[in-house]
Amino acid sequence: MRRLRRVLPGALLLILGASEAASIRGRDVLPRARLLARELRGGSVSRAELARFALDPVFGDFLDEVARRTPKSAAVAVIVPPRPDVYRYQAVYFLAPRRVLDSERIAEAEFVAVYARAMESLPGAQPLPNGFLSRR
Amino acid sequence: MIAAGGAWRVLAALGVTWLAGWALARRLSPELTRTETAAWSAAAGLLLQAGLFGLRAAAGIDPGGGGLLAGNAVAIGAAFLIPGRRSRRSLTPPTRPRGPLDPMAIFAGSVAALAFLAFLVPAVAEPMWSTDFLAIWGMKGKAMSLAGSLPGRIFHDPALYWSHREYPLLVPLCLAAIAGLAGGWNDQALAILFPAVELSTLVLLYGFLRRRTGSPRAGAVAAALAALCFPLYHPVNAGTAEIPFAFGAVLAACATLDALSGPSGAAYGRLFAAALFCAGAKQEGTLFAFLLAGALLLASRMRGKALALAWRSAGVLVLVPAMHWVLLRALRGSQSRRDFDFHLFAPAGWPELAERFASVASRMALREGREALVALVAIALFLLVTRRSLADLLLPVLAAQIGFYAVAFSVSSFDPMYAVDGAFRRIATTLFPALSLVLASRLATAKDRPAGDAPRV
Repeated sequence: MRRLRRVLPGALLLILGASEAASIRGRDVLPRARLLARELRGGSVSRAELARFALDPVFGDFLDEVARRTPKSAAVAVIVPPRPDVYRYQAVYFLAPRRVLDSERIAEAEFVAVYARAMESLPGAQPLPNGFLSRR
Repeated sequence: MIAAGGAWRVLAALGVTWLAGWALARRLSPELTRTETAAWSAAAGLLLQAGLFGLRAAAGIDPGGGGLLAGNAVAIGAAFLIPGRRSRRSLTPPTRPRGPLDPMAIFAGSVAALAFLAFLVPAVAEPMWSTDFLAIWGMKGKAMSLAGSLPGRIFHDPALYWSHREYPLLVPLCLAAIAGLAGGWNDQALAILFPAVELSTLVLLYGFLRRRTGSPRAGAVAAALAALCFPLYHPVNAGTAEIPFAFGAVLAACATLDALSGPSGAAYGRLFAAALFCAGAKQEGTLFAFLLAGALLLASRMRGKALALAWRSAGVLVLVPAMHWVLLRALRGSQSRRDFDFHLFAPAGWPELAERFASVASRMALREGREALVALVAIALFLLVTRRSLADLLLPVLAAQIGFYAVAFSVSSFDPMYAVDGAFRRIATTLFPALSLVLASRLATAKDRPAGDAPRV
């Protein structure tokens, strides 16, 4: 009994540690380890391989173009699909320090960038990857 | 991207952060082990960077890299030049491990190192990407970094209504300040901050338990258990406030246990820094500090000199987050909390509140509890078969914190079940490193314990 009492706490912590360790997912670690190894060797990484654009890799190209064609001080209305919300968050994050507005605040914008929308291009709008940009 | 020098610049910025923090923390750590001092240096350094960036930006001075470096140099110089009173005696003297190294400690330390690598590698392999990073912490940090100021629009722009303008700013300020020191915003290289914070947490757990229990095994086991908390140390949390808050909770726990054991100026200083770190990281941090204050008062049994000492420590744990809140409110103004429907606390809302609370509690127990059943049973049995320890004060605090989460989900403006499913595990796991402190401290046997440091609670 005394021996059990001595061994039991360690055994219980081992069980706890093992149950924690079981929660790790190989898909969270191994592909990223390979990605990091490739980067450290000087290899290139495509946007499609990154988790931040897993939802829609083309959206990153669209945002790059909007950033390239608008000044950093501009207010840009970015019209994106309403769901999922991450489109809006990505637009605000990647276009910083520009002020990014949604469709309800187009009146405050100097530029309007429209993504993946089958809508008629505004007069004078510039085509972008999967969208267009117009100056107001 | 990370190989293009960005990582080295961020590592250098973190080195400056740690060095400046060490200059400050050496005042707070006369009785601590080197590993603990290293962790407190990281905490003090991060608080210093955030403070320097915030102060310079608020004063209208561009907090660029040169200005921040100069600020750090001034802080280091001041820490060495201004005479300070050193603690005359060590209240809880560092204990040296006796005899050969314990195989169990080596095993646990190896597990902790491997688990740390399992977070480090995926965390820095690609730019930070989680939704909370893009929408909240990273967005604010990047806006501050690129503007070289605290842009008012992160608090007032109606277009950013979803960015939780009420949240504290330690993480965005740290990201912006380290980006400033590193010469620019690189959201892959900046991810190194989060494994660095994890490392500080593990080192603090090890150092604290080695000193207070005399058992390297207890310290190494605590570090291993904390590092194995993969739902917390997951790449999705690189860029959010979860990992910094977990560090803050361990800082506050260690500082509180030291203050309980033997108050000193240095112990109060550590309480101050820990309470500020907790409150600055997350709103839950303020709650955690308040709960620790309550536990201290209860542990004093409301009697005599113990109560007077408990009041002092509790006062630090309450006043520092309160001052932080006043400062934050002055900065951002009043913000509506769209996440919560506080009308449910009015008497007319009580029946609905009770119904919601029952639903939330059962969801937490049946869904989240069932998934973690093996771990929860192991923890419960471990607590039953082991003796009380110096860190048991934390158990009711951690339980109460989870209870408050249940109440918060119950008054959610959105579907409470959606809130539980989306957030409970993420926020509950931030408490696990502090829980691992309690569990591992019970491993230390009486012969491990330094003389004169018997458990008080």
